[in-house]
Amino acid sequence: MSGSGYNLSRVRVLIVDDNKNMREIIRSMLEAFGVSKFREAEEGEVGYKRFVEFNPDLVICDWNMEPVDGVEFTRRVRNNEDSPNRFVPLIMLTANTEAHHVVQARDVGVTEYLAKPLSAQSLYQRISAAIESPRPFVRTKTYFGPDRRRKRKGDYEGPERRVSDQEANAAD
Amino acid sequence: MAKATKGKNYEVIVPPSKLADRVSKGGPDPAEAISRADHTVQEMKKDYKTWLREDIERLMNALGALRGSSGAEDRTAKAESLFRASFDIKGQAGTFGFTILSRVAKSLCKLLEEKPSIETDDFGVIVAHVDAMRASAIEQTDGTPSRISLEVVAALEGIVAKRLQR
Repeated sequence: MSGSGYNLSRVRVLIVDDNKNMREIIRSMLEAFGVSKFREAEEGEVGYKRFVEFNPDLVICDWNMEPVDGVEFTRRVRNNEDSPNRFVPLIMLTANTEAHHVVQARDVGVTEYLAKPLSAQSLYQRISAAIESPRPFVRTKTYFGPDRRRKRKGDYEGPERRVSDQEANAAD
Repeated sequence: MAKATKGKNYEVIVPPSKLADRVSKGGPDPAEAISRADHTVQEMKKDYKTWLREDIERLMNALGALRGSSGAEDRTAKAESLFRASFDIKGQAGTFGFTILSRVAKSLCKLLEEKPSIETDDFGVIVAHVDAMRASAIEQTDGTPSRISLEVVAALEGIVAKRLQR
């Protein structure tokens, strides 16, 4: 059936979650969206191996897994020498909903954070954001990952307080 | 090829988007895609009721182990197992419309995660949560929550909030 939406039939997705029922829910939703190419893993160690072998276009991962959790998995995706794509859109899907969890996930380099319980609409919106508005990446001494600022420079009219922005302005 | 802008101690990189490259037009309209996915979830509901029975059994077993624990260290380990069982229910129940069940699980997870240590005088509160989750699962309380179930979950959340303030 053709329409005005995304054709996702060529998109490759890796799902990393220790709960097989949850993997089934995610996969079923993605299949309904039109995705047909999947790999799955039940924790981050195997998940990273699958990531290297499969080189997906999109990753959806859980947080609480053992022995390697979603935070460490994300760190490897973003920083390991053998990571086939450090820029891959990575959606962390988790029932950890406290603010400090969101901050921790953001600071390890997730692209989008999605709280369980999952809805089809919220998953579609996150995938759409990853397609339509991919974020630039930032590398500093302590961080590599998507730009953590939601607003772009053009929206702000006040003084530039970041050292990096002041330097950039001085160099212009 | 990625484009990069460098500063003194930072680099901004605009990478090519592999994902966008794989996506073409001509797929179902977003509303249609979401509706299909919602329908798929509805079809999975009968599977979820089986999964839920298994999760509740796991929850009950974890509660039994916690009640039989000996000493603080054992209690902590058993509380962690109970947390994991409740956490899985918290993460899935709401997807299938069991909003009360998800809230009660969330309240129990909050207690187990944020209280520095679980003591024997916490058992009453924990049992109350597990009983509410069992009742919700048995009655298959999905769809619009009843006034009583809303009052019960609010009461449990209030008890947990007070306990964490101590």
